[in-house]
Amino acid sequence: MSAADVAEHEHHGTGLYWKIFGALTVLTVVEILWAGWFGSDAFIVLVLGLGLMAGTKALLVALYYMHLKQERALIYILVVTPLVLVLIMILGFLPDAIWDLSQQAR
Amino acid sequence: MSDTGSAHAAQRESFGATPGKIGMWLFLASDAMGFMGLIIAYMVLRIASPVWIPEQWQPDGALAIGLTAVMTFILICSSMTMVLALAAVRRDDQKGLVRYLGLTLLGGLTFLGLQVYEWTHLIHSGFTAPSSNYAATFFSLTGFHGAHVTSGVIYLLILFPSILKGKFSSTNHSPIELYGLFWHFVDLVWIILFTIIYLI
Repeated sequence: MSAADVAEHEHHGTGLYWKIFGALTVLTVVEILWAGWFGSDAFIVLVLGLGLMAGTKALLVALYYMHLKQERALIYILVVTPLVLVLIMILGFLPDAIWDLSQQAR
Repeated sequence: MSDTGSAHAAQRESFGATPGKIGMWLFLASDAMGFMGLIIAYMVLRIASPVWIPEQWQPDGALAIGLTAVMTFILICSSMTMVLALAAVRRDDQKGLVRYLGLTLLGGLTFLGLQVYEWTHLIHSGFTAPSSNYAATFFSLTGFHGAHVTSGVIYLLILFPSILKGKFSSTNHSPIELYGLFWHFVDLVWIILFTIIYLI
């Protein structure tokens, strides 16, 4: 991010940072309530809801507090590469774990 | 000087970021893979375990969500003060820089204090790393993250004398910006860990 980008970004004050802070706080409260509502009774709903909220929070921090939104392609490549590699690892390991669990259940 | 300056400008132009920033993002990317490796191990162990929470900790587990919710809020607050500190130095507000980085440091120290309290309480109640996969993964993940928070606090303590002497300004604030990237990353990772370990 260039100095000019930053100056433009912060020209209107720090209001955006406070909005992100509010969103992070509200999402954290909703996450805790969500975990209380669904517990282990509806595990898929629990995981999907919490995953979506945690992912949104992480994205807000990266885009606005780490200023990723104003970065250029090189930084995005640096960020996305490990995520792709880890996704490949997850796709490799998780089916094996689920298979193992299904064998134990028999 | 002008040759060096134009060489730096050309380098910056060609990569679109300063070498320091590229270095920090590279570090964070490899560090993220370390965290994700631990998280994958946690997920695989958990999915493959017929009973994840040992009987003595049933039904809700040993971990207290209330305390860690407070810890989460403290880290979010410290991320907010960190970004305000960067905004302050960019407009040459030295008092703001000291105030907001002081609050960031306080947030980090409070988080660590609460983590020590949590760990002590858990260990005294018999929740030790060798007692189960549930406990071992908990201590591995939160311990690895706690080490990062500790590093962040030490990093900031090292920067603080220069900050107090007013060595950073709107034209010279790269160390503050790079520190901010590290601190926000620590917050980002905790957001994920809090959800995975404590809420799911």
